[in-house]
Amino acid sequence: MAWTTPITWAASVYDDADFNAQIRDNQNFLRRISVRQTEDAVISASTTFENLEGLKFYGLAGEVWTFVGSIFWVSNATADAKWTLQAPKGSTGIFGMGHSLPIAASWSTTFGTAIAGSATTSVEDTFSISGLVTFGRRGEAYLQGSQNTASGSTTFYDYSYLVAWRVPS
Amino acid sequence: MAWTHPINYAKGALIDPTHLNTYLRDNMKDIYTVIAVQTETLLKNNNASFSNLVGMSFSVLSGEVWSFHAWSYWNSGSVADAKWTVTAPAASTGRFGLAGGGQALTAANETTFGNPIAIASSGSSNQLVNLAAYITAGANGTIQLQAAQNTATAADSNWYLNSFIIAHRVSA
Repeated sequence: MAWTTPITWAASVYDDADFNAQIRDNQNFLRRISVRQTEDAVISASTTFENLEGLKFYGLAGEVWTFVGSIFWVSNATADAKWTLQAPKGSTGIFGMGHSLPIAASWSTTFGTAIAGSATTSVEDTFSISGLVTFGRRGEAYLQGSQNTASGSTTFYDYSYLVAWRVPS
Repeated sequence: MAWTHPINYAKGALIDPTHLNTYLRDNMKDIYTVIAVQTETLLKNNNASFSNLVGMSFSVLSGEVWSFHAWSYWNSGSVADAKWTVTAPAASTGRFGLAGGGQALTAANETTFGNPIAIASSGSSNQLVNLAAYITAGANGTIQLQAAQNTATAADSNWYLNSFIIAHRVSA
């Protein structure tokens, strides 16, 4: 699935190899997935992860994907907030975030590990997220969120989003 | 290569080479994206000299304009801290910078390629910065990310594999 510099087409006869390289392979190379969270995830006094519906992408075994995005949320200074990335069994990679406040551990190489950020009381907030997944088997990589300490209410908003690119092999 | 909004094709319409050049060749060049992944972890100990983040690079031609974002996963002690730079072909112009995870910035953007941009370390084992750049290449060559300790300190600092760059060529 390598990139082939696009040719200049002429009034000529082209064969299947031309179209496979110029259209199939190049468009596969350029493909990216853009998805958004489709509903609010409201967490009440709980630290159990819940899916951030819609924030997911699909890969086949051996495929390597990168992603970046933003999670929009609001919480309280006791509950704070955390998120994680789940990936199919055998997957490897890294995921993490940037935030306006110091972060105890900004990234992890273990899918399912919590990445937590502090909340300033009831201030609307954003996590800037990124990661790379080498899929161990086919399936979905998906985001989850929750409170870091069970207290009050925390909302992960719809229209949070991610963009994912498949890394050429 | 500018983007041309794809037309609607009608039944029986003749597709000539102009269509293929406009809607395939030029549009694909316009949305061409480079994803470059760091392939090995860089370890620095008592060393403030820049080294390549291997794999965090891409090729450019003279006159091309590129922008990129990069995500660098790292750790370092709170004495050593960390710095990055972007190297580019001679006579390249532009600006590059970083945003960190709530830590103090020593220098967060630069216009001289090869100069450092730096951030204080929280001392945490897992830290992440987002780097960005907008570059007009002055010659054919390579855009390369580098890193080092900001203060040479006899303790390990690491910049981890699977960090990555997403680069876009800006339309002419």
